[in-house]
Parts: sequence; structure tokens; C-alpha cells
Amino acid sequence: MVNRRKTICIRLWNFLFLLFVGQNVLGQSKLLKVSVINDQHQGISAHIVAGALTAVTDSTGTALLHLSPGRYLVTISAVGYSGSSQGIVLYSDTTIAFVLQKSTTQLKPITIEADRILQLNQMSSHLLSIEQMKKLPTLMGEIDPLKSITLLPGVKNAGDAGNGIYVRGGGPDENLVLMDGITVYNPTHLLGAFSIFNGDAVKNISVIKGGMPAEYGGRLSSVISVTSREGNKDSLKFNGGIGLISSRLTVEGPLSKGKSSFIISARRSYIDQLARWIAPDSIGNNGYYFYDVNAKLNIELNAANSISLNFYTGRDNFNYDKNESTDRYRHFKANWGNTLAGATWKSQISRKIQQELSIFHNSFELGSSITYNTDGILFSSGLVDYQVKNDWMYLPSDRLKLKAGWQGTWHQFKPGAGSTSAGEQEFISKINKQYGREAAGYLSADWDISNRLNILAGLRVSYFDQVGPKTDVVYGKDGVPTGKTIAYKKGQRIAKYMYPEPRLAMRYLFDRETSIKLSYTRTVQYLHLATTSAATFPSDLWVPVSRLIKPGVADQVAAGFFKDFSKGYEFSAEAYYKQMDNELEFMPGAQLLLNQNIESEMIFGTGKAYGLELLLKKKTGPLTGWIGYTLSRTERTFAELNGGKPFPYRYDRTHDLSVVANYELSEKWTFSGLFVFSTGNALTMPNGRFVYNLGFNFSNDSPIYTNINRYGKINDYRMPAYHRLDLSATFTPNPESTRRFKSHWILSVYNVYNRSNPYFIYIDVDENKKTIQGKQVTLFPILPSISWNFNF
Amino acid sequence: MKKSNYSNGYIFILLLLLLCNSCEKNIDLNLDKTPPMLVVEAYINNSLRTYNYVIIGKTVNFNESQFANTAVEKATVTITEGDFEKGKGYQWNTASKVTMKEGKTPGMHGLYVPGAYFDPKLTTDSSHALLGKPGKAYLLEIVAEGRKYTAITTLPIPVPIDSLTNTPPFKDDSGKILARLTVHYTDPDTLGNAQIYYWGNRYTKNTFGWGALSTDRYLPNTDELVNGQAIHITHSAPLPIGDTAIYYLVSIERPVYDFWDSFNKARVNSGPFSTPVVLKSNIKGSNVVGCFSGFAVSSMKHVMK
Repeated sequence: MVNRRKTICIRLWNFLFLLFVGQNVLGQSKLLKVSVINDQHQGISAHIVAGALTAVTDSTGTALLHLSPGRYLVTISAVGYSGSSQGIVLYSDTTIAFVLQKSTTQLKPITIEADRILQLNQMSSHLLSIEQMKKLPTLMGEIDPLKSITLLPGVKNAGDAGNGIYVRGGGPDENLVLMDGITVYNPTHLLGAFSIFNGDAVKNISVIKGGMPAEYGGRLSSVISVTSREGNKDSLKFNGGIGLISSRLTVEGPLSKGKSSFIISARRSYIDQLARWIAPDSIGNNGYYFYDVNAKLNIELNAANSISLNFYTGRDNFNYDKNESTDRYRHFKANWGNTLAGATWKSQISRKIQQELSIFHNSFELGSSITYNTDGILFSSGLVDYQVKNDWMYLPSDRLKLKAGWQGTWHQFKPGAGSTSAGEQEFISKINKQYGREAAGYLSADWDISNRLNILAGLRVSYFDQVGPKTDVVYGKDGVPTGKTIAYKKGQRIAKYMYPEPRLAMRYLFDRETSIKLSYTRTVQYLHLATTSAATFPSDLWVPVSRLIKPGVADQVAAGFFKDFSKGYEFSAEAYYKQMDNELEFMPGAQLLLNQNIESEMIFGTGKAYGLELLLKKKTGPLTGWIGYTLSRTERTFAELNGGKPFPYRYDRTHDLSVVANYELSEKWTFSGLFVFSTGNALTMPNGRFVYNLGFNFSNDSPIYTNINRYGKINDYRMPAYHRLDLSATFTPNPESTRRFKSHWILSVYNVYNRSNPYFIYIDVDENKKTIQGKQVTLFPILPSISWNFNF
Repeated sequence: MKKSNYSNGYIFILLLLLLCNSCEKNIDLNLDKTPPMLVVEAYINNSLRTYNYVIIGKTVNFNESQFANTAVEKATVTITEGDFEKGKGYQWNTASKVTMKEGKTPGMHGLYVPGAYFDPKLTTDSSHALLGKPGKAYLLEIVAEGRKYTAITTLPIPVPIDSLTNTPPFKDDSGKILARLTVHYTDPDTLGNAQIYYWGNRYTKNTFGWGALSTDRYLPNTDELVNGQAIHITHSAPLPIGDTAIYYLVSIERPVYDFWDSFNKARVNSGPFSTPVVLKSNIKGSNVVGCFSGFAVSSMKHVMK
């Protein structure tokens, strides 16, 4: 046993020696830094080929390559831009910049990656640029990055509305949604109908469904990352749009020409203003609106250092008052929203070392009040995060990239404060705030073992502890408080967890057109979203792990086959299997708001998801687009539910198909269409009923009773399938115009054939007529929209 | 804390539906069919002898047009009084066992309701008919269709009503002058106690049963917020001025409260994003649902002014 250990140690040492020393000895490489920008001095996503090496630019349009001294032809390609190439002689560290012009001769393709996905070592990921999103048909003219990614295999949404995004069988709280690296807890307006990401302020959105790099963590299922746009570094620009439900305006320009820039983008919906204008008497002060403001500063301190400052704030406001009769009065008022702020310093310390230091703050707040006659509820909740993050990248050779970093987050949870009233009686509740400290460190190596084989291996170690101040009420088994309390001082540890999260991905290139990829990912999640319903709401609470609530842990393996065909076709097939532990559900009928003893309502179980995702893309030519198909199964198992037997997850969808097509008829006209089909959501429907709370009315000799439903298997009923066709046309009146002012119109039709897709199903029971009728409610019928967009 | 749908986000759904052009259509539901389950609704209280009864029924398949109780007749039903002694458990006084029978009773205006079981003494010697005692435990035993079912409930000590008042009167749209009833009492200084509220007036005069009375029920957290405090609750439902209201402040033990709490959630659980609610039954046996409710009642009358 000792000898075996010794052998392993020696082998490991040899491996490390070869990894670090051997590569340096053999390499003696030179650093080629390639910067790719567009004519507005904005970094763009581009694919770089230099000799036998390929690379993809980062969010700033920069890529680093280590090459042996020699002559190279550097070729750049990017979606929507004319390609470019340049011959160089590399004898020392060199920086070259490419300024790509928008393609005029080549028709702009709509693809979902700017690069050749088969060559990336990252699997199960997709990137959509804003140019691609703009070409997709929209709901009421609003470009929506979050909705766009649900057209990709393995990424699903709840239906026509709903905050939730469900990735490979995970729950809506299991996605790490980032905006410029800052976590967003509630990324939608109007309960999921629209996302908070204003299309004018967004550069691209990416989603990683599996094989997550070690720098990401904290959620089980995916990383959804939105990168906001940088301002124009050349001249002052305005652009905006007027749509059916909202309008947008963006101002951007240089702070220091060619080096630093700003961008401010704002959007506001005006349903409320239109309604008041059309029917001032009936609408009164009732109404709903949302707004959001994005701002970003990019400051280039010198060739090696830059700082970016990001800010976002957005709110939803809703007010409803109604006097139903003299003695019946309803009132509901709510406002909620996110505020995000971040500062990032990027530094090229040496030709081989980069670092990025970020400080982030985010908060989500909800305030609401409801009054009905003498009864009333006031409720507020929210959470606040402060985060520090530091990432380092070291390039010891042209075949090896090392990354390391750490991050620490201070969480403050405000589970709810409020009061309920019954006439003069007021029950004031204030649920204790909770505090958590989350930290993680990681190390990863991206190693081209040969020209064909690449391994991306990493280890992330994450830590979470819940700390005081907090006073816990001790409850008995029956849910009755015992009268005892446990008080924790400020900073005193209540519960702590630490998990290693190994990550491993492998890519093997058979040839320039074919590759296979494998990955294994362990992810750990320390926060849970408390919701009992099939949808997520602003009132849903995030709760940290505690002594009772354990972290969620997911293990996923995935395998993929990737193939490029001629004529711009690209095909990929990925299969995955995911096991999830400590999945959280709430007891049926659980009271979540203003419940000090919320943990007693929780139950814990496991989840399992597996599936096959197919994607065929056409990337070039006048007709471009993709067909995505997912065949999958997602289950949950809880001892307390369904007799302890596995049951389908609510968003288990056997089949999920999306077809996206874009056709450029001319410079003036572009047409797009999308078709989606998916198996209906799983529901628990009653399998019987009974009468209870009986009484008798002798005036008419009739019984008095309440009908109660009886339920059997969980999620055993399927809603009708969801399918929909959307079409849009973009008209640019003067594409050849050299004038500064340019504009285009987008005509969009949502749900072209007016499919009645189920938003929810209920049963209408008429006890007088003795009839039972199933009812289906549809949210969006056919909805045409038009928007006018301009820039100058 | 008052019962509210707010937690399930219905109000937010209202927002979405108000703003969006939603539409509705009829669909065919092909729901599963299952064998029937026994349903037990049983009460023992310390105030109203006629309101101590057991109703036994069955569940039906959802699509059936049967809406009234599907009675289970000719069951053997007994209620026995006892005490809970630490270390010994429940001690039942077999001499107190009352066999409940189906039959016509004065409280039911002589109406025979199949599946409804009463103490036969209500018709022969009503002053000695079954009546619960605060602090005592009660054992319900049922043998129906060859199977045995049992349940135990305990009557807590009743909480006295300090007074009843009403809010200033108002005129509704039809011209009726109405006001709302307010109950004043002091919450017992014991954590976890629970009350539910019933009242009757002219509208319930010609009715029978706990299910026929007006009611309001509160959630368990309430007690933590107001433990030992003076309580003043105004019920939302208005009553006519001049009416005489009889008010029942009902104290219950926790399992009974949990049942009625789940019942309330199940009763209103018909919205789009509701989750299936299963009643927290306190009846033991195979394939049975229901509650044996021990009600410790204090009552008071009030003339609406």
C-alpha cells in the first residue's frame, strides 16, 4: 500500500514537472496579443487562426496566443463582419489590432456562435450576439435575451410567461444569471413576460449547460451570462426605439477618444400612460409600468490596465384600486426591482499573466400592500449581496493556460417584514434577517496535450456559512414553539458547509470538421428559492442553507459529437445525465411568507435528468438558422410525495423542438421566423373529490357543503402540447444612405396561427348545475407588433 | 395572521391577466379514476349537544355528477371519554362509551340524513346526551364496510370572550344597513394555542351543523405574534343592524387546527399555480381522510347596532 502511494506520488510529481517545466523548456514561445474591434472601437467576438492555433476573443475582443517564433498568417473571422488577415513575423511579443468592417457584400448570417463550436473545449454552451437576437421575432417588439436562449436545446422556459428558465432538468433557481459578472436574482419584468435586459444595452448572452469551467459556481444547472455593450469610443451616438409597450433611448460616446467610453441606456414601458389617455375615468390611478437604466464606463488607463464601471437599476410598479361596492374595497400595490453595481479592473501584468479584480453589489427589493375590506397585508422582502472576485490567468506556454481565482460574497437575506390586519387588530411580523458568507477558490488548467486532444481540468472549492446575528425560535415536532430561543451573536457561525467541486472536460479533434467532447461537472448550490407554485414571483424568497437546509449538489456527465459540413452547416449531438441531491420542495399548501418556521415546511429529495440534444445550424448564405431538438426526462423523488416514488418534474418535456430561420431578401428586407413545439408541462390533477364541512339548510331542505379535491399521483397529468409560429420582417428604408441618421422598422407577429397554448388549466365545478368542465386559459393570442428603431 | 392567497402569488397573476389579453376555452379532461376513500367528519364539543355528531361518506371520481355526500350507512360508531396520563398514555373510561346512531333528531328538524350519526339520547333524553368536557380526551371508533378506523381528540380549556362589538354601520348598494362584528378576548399565555371563530345570525337560524355557521379561521403563526395579548378581530363579513349574532370562540388542539388549516388551503386551492393540498387528517386507518374535531367553545350574543 505504501509502495503504491509512493508510485502515485512520483508519477504525479513527474506529471507536474512535465506540465510546468517541460512546457516552458520546449516552448520558448512569444506572445501574440490580437485585439479585434469594429468601426465603433468596440471589441467583438471573433475567431482567430494563426498557423495551427485557433483562439476566440474574450468579451473585450482580445485573445492571447503563444506561438513559436516564425512567420504566420493571422486570419480573423466574425459574424456580420468582413474577414481579414495579416502576415506577421513573430520574433518577440507582439500586439496586433484588427478593425473589422460590417459586411456589405456578404449577407449577414444568423448563427448562434461566432466561432466553430467543434474546436472549443467548452461543451454544452451557446453564445448569442445582440445582432442575432435582433433578428428573431419578438413578443410585442421587445428584444429579450432570456427568451432567445430558450430556443436552444436543453434550455426551456415555463411557457408564455414566467420567470423560470429550466436547464437540463434543473429548477428556476439553479441558474447563475450574471450581468457583467454580477448575480441577478430576479431577471424579469412583468412576471417573466419580459427580461430586465434591455436589448440596446446588451452585447451578447451566453449559456453554459454543463461542463462548467471552475471559475463558475454557486448554482447547480447553468451559467447564463449577459455582457452589456461598451460605449462608442469614437463619437457621440444616439440610438433608440419606439415600440408598442415601451420605448428606449441610448446615449454613448467617448470619454477619451479611442480609449475610454460611456454608455447610458434607459427603457420605460407606457402601458399605464396609454391606458390613462384612452380611458382616464375607468383607469384612474391604476396601472403598471416598468423601467430600467443601464450605464457603463470603460476607461483604458494604459495599454495594460483598464477599468470598467457598471450600473443597472430597474423597477416594476403596479397599482390597483377598486371599489366593488359601498362596502367592498380592493387595493393592491407593489413595486419590486434590482439594483446592480460593479467595478472591474483588468490588468496585463506581464506577457503571460493577466488578472481581473471586481467588486460587485446587488440588491433586490419588494414592497407590497393588499387591502380587502377590513383585512390587509403589508409585506416587504429582499436581499443584498456584496462580492469581491479576483481571477488570474497564466500562460506558461502556447499549449497551456492556467487559471486561478477566488471570490467572497456577503449575503444579507430579508425574508420578510410586514403586518396583517383584521379591522383594528394588527399582527406585526418581522422575520429575522439572515446572513451568509460564501467563498470559493479555484484552479484550472486548459491543456492542449496534442493538436487533437485538449483537456480542461479544474477544481473549485466552495464554502458557505450562515452567521448571526440571529435568534432562532425553537419549535416542537408539531410545529408549536417551545418557548425556547437560541441567540447567535453577530458573526457567530450557525452552520457551515464546504465542498470540492471537480470539473473535467476533454475535446478530441478527429479532423478539422469533426470532434468529440466529454465532461464531468460537480456543482454545489447554497441558496434555494422558496416557492410552492408552478411559477416564480417577486414575492418568492431566497433562503440560505442552514443546519436543516443542506446545499444542493449536482453531478453531471455529458458527451458530445460535433461535425462541420460544407456549405456552412454545423451539427452537434450531446447526451447528458445529471443527478441532483438535496433538491428542495415545500409541503403542499405551505405558508411561505411571514413564516418564522419556514424550515418546517420544507422537504428534501433527489432529482435525475437525462436527455439527448441535437442541433443543426446553417451559418452562411441568404437562408440561415438552426433546428434544435431535445429528447429528455426529468424526475424528482421525495419520501413525502407520491408515496416516495419518482415523479416527473413539472417541466419534464419529452420533446422540445425549435426551428429558427432568417432570410435576407435584400439590403432592405430581412425576414425571420421561428417555430417551437414542446410536450405539455406535467401537472397534478385531482382524481376524485368529496364533500366536507357539512351543514343543512331547512329553509329549502338542502345540504350545505364544501367540495374538496382528492389527489393521487404527482405530476401525472400532461397539459396540451405547446407550439407556436412567430414571424418578423425588418425593413431598412435607405440601407445605402450615408447620412448620420439611420432607421429601420421591425414588424413582428407572435403566435401567427393563433394557437391557444395553455397558460394554466383549471376545473370549473358548478354545483347548482352539477357540471364539471375543464378550462384552459391562454395568455397570448396572435399579437402583431411594430417598432421603429433609429440611430444617429 | 389572516389566511391569504397572497403567498401563492395570485395577486401577481391577476396583474398579468389584467395586462394581457388572456382568453379561456373549454377542454376535455381525462382524469384518473380511483377506488373510493372513506371520509369522516366528526365533532365533540362542550357547549352544543346537538352539534356532537359524526358524518361518514366516501370520495367519488372527479367527473361524477354526484355532489352531495355519498353516505356510508350502517357503520358502527362509538365515542369514549378518557384522560391522557403521562407515562401511561390514554386511559379510556369504557363506561362512558356512547354508540352513535343514524336517525332523526330534533336538531335536524326530524330530517333523516343517511351517514349522519348522533347520540340517540338527543331524541329520548337530550339533557344527558353526549357533551364534551374541557381537558378530556375522546376516542372515536368506527367500523364501516368491514374496516376499523380510530381517532383521538382533546378539548382544550375554552378561552372566554371579553366582549363583542360592531363597527360603525354603513349602507350597502342595495340600501341595507350593515356592520361588521368585532370579538374581543385575551389570548392565553401558552404558545401554540389556536382559535377558530364561528357565528350565527338570522341567516343561519334555520340551519344545522358547524358547516352551516359563518366562520373565520386564522393561521398558526398568529399565536406567536400575539401570545398573551388582548385580541380584537373584526370579521370581514357584514351583518344586518338589529340582528342578534351568537358567537362561538372555539379553542382547538394543534392537530385539529392543522386539519382545518389544510382544509382552508384546499378549499381555495383552485388557482393556476396552486399546488395540490392534501388534508392533514387525524383519523387512523386505511384509505381514510377527515378529522375528529374537539371544540372547546365559549359563546356570547350580540345585537348589531
